[in-house]
Amino acid sequence: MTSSSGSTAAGVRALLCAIMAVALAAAGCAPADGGRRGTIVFADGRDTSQGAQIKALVNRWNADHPGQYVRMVELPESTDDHRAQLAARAQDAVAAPSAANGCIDVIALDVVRTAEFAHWGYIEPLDPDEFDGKEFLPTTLETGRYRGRQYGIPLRADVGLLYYRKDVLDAEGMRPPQSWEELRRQAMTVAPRHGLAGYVTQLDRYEGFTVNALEAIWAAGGNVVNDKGEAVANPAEAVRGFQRIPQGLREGWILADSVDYNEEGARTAFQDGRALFMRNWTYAYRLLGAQGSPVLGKFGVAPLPWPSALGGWNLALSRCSRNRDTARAFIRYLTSESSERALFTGAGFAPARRALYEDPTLVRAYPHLPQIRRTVERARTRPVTPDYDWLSNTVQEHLYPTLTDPSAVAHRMSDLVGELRGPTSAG
Amino acid sequence: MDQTIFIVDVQGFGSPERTADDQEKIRRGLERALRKAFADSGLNWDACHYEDRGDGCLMLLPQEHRERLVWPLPGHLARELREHNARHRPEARIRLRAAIHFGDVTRDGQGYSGNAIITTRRMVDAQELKEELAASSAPLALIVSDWIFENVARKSHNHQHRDYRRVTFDFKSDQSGNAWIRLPEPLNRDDDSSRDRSIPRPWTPPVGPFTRSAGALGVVLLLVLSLTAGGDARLGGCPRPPAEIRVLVSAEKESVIRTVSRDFERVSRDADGCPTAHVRVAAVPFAGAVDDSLAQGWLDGDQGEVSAEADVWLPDSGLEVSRLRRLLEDGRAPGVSVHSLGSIAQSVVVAAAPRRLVERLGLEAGAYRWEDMLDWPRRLPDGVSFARPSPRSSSVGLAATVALYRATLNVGALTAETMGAAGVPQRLHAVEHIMTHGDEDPVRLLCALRNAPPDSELRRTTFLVSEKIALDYRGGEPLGGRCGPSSTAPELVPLYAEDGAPLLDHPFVVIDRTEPPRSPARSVAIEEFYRYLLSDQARQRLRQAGYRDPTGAGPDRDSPVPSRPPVREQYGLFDDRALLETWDRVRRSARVLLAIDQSRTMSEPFPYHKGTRLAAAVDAVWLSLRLVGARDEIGLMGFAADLSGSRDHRLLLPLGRPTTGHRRNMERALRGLRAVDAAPSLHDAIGAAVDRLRDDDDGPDTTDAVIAIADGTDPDGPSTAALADRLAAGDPVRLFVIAFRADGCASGLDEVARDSGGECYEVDGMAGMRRALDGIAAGLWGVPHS
Repeated sequence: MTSSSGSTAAGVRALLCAIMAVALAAAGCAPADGGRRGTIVFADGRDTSQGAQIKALVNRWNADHPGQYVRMVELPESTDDHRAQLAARAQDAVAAPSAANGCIDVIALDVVRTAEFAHWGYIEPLDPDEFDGKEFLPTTLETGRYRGRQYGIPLRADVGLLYYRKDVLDAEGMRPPQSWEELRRQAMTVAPRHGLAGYVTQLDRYEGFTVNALEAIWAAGGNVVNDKGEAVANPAEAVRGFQRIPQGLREGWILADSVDYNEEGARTAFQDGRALFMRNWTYAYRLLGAQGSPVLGKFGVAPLPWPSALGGWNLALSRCSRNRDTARAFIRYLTSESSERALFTGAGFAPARRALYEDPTLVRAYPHLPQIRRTVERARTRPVTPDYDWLSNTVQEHLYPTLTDPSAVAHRMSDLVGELRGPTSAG
Repeated sequence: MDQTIFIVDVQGFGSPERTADDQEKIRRGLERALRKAFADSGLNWDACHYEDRGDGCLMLLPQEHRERLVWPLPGHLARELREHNARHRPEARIRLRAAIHFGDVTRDGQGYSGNAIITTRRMVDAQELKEELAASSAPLALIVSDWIFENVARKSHNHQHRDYRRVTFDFKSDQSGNAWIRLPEPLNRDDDSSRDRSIPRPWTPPVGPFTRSAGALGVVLLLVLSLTAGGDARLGGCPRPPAEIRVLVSAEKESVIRTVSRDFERVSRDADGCPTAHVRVAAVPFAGAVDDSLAQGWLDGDQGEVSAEADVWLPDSGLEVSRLRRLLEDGRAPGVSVHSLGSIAQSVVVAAAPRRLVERLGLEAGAYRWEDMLDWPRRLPDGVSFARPSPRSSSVGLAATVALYRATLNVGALTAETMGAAGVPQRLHAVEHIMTHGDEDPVRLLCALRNAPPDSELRRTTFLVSEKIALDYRGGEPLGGRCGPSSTAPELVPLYAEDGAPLLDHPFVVIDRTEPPRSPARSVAIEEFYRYLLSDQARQRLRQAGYRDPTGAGPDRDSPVPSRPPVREQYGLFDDRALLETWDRVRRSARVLLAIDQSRTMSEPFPYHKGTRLAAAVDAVWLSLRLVGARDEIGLMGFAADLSGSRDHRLLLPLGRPTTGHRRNMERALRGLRAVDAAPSLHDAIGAAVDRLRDDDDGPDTTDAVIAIADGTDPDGPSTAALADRLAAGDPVRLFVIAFRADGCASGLDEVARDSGGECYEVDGMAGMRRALDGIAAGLWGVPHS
């Protein structure tokens, strides 16, 4: 994995960036308070599909707001690296609130991070009314809440969708499956007839695995952690639900390579025409339908045959921020209807605002919009806990190895739940 | 103070079939089994001192526990272990040896010590006990000391002492003693009528930082909180977040550091099971290759610059740190500094050679000399290749290059002076052409070697890699993540440089910033992480991954490696900037077209030479063969007016690599060379040579050059201005002229040559000839003339 000289420059730059400080213009000396305007720093995730749109929006803000310059910092692509960067900086900022530099005023947070960042005081509660709270679909606004207070304003929502080969299903006179059983049946019978694998999804050992695992568990009426954040006592349904995944791999209708795939891996496999069905997020739609895609005109999109996990990103205000007026105004701007429209039409993510789903021109241009809305409204949230990172890693640690061994699911799940339960267990 | 000592050891804990996951399952299972067995035996867990040893544990119990420890605890423990084993796959099952003794134990700053503990350890490691367990299917084998047997087992009322058999064990190197072993039968829960009904509270581990191995005692005192359900982290409810540590690691260490980081996160949980540290690991390529042009651009504050800061950096070698530190001193990143806390592991650069080569060259002793290595291709007729990573992108590459160059030039230090001396560029150039297998990463090549066909060149390649990678290859470990073992992989024998294998010292580097300063909690966590990396548990992981201790011990692999090979530190032996610049230049390939004047004036005698100018020119051609390396190309042209029909030049030998065949052809061509009675046509010939070079495609980084060996004038030919235009109009070709006339370079030829990146030399004897050739070598592979 040492790079050849061609990519060394980029790699070296990465290292050099890693050790250098983000040099920021001094934001002033007044204590963090309301009534302050000036330069702020904004960190987005490194999401290439929407990156250009966000940058364009930031540029427009900067053109329109002299004296309130938004300096944008892109954090690493992987959600775990993104989180680590923000958490380290936030911990430093909390420990040294009078430090002049280093605060990232506005941060984009994956929805699963709200609890962690709110719980440890890295971010500030916001008044939803100041940010058009009522204009958002309730489930999306909920992702920014923790213990009754609003910390995040939806930048975009996201859900899993079932992408399918419309040409194949039409030829067979079938409609997309509405249950796991139906998916399995169609995958086992129809796909081989057309030289396709049945179903591809993200099962590599990362957050995507946890998403797929939870969806499978929920689909069977089970759970690992209840709404109060406690581990469930009896994981029988969770076992039944999750076991279907390794069984599907064993039966061969789930593409075996899925165990190495993240979102891009699965999308590539489906785009290359290797599978009949794919679970993936909304972003894939645009890429599958782009010029040159082998499945252009051949694929359709439907709600998952089970409740989807709710994804998305929110914007939050850091506690260390001083120029809070600017920061809040910027959050309002970036989550406004016109900004969201630009993000949606530019990159295809699910909107969080009701108005976009009800806009006739958008619905005409994107006929699957109503389906996305239904999916968003019915989507389930992953466990809300400041320890979500640990929880997800523990799920992966226990369950990922069972992908090759369905019979191990039962005792692994029991170990998992035991570990989640913590010291209150009799042991 | 007298204590009852109870030591258990998991048989075969470190066996290679067990994954880290298995080991974790074993440790948890052991802990659970012990606690349950204690409860069932009416023993108060809280009253006992418990320490994890990594693969077993040490417990000290109050006296009143003695009887129940001897019976019925082993029976309950056997049952618990049996149940654990029923639920787990073979690699995660527990087979346990347990030893019970009684004696004086002292407590000092580092933990518990005393001869009684040593004795108990010797007992649990007794060969007979191991064999007894291995030969049976029982989950537990018990050994008790003579004292325990006489004073406890015999005195109990259930006659279980009859189940014991006596063995001897070595409790000192020259002394043996008696002990008693048995295989306890699993007891049902209700069998023991003396069971106490009280249920112990959940175990809380002793609070405090872990300590390192207590030296000569060999008692490993580690507090591994994760062994108990009580130490598991909980959802919510912890008072503060885990301190975040962002770690950058070299690609080679990524996997083992991830494992060690997870261990560390577990170990550093507090008494309530709350994590106090969280480590995020990312791999980064080698940072040493920083040149000024890159440095210009790194503080780019434009939008879109990906900012990924780190707190800890774990490169392969401190050489990388030196380079980065120099850059920081240049003021490129205000407020940022780095400092190294020390080495966490060691490795060395080895030459992994095919067994066949080792045998043919008689290197079975496992040592080689750098200067001899350069000779191997000559000694092995079917050829030898080398693969060495680029010194710009790898610590191993940098270390190997330093060693090679020093051996070639036989100098103490590699500086701009020593590497720029006359005659040096072509020698280093030759070295580079022997050493390099393109720019491919040797790890990728090793992967390809595993499945290489029988006639592949890779099977004749010696790989300069780190010892760890060489061992990974030998051990069938995945290389670079995804390359699995193969049954047909040819053997590679690691060889060590006689005068010291270049050392890779794996430092732990902390990156500090003044704005904003690091939070105290994070700073403490970083120090704890460093100390953890030096703990026995972490060192064991690193040794198993193929590294050596910071003290040089290890690695723990099956392959035979010298226990402490001579190593050579390379700090101070080279100027890194000068070295990399030199490397860049001397590794270039060149295509050299020699153009020899065959006009009538070449038949004049040449001073200090027994022949004519033409004969001298022929000698010059032979000498210039020494300029070129194995991957250069060389060709030959002759010129004179109307030499070849209406043309003034003739191709005598097309461009080709200086193989034996090519040299033979050159010899033939030169032998037939005669001066003709014609005027010179130097400028035309040069033009034609240039065209020929431009017609053929060359690779990237290839220098094209024409070396014209001539009298120097071309009175009837096109002007030098026209020649200059021709040279300027197209891909760069360097012109070197060796002129025999006293003013051969006048009339503008010297300017034309210099403008093209070459030079014109007026030569009046062989000494001058050699100087000219040195100058040409410098022009091609040395520091260009200003």
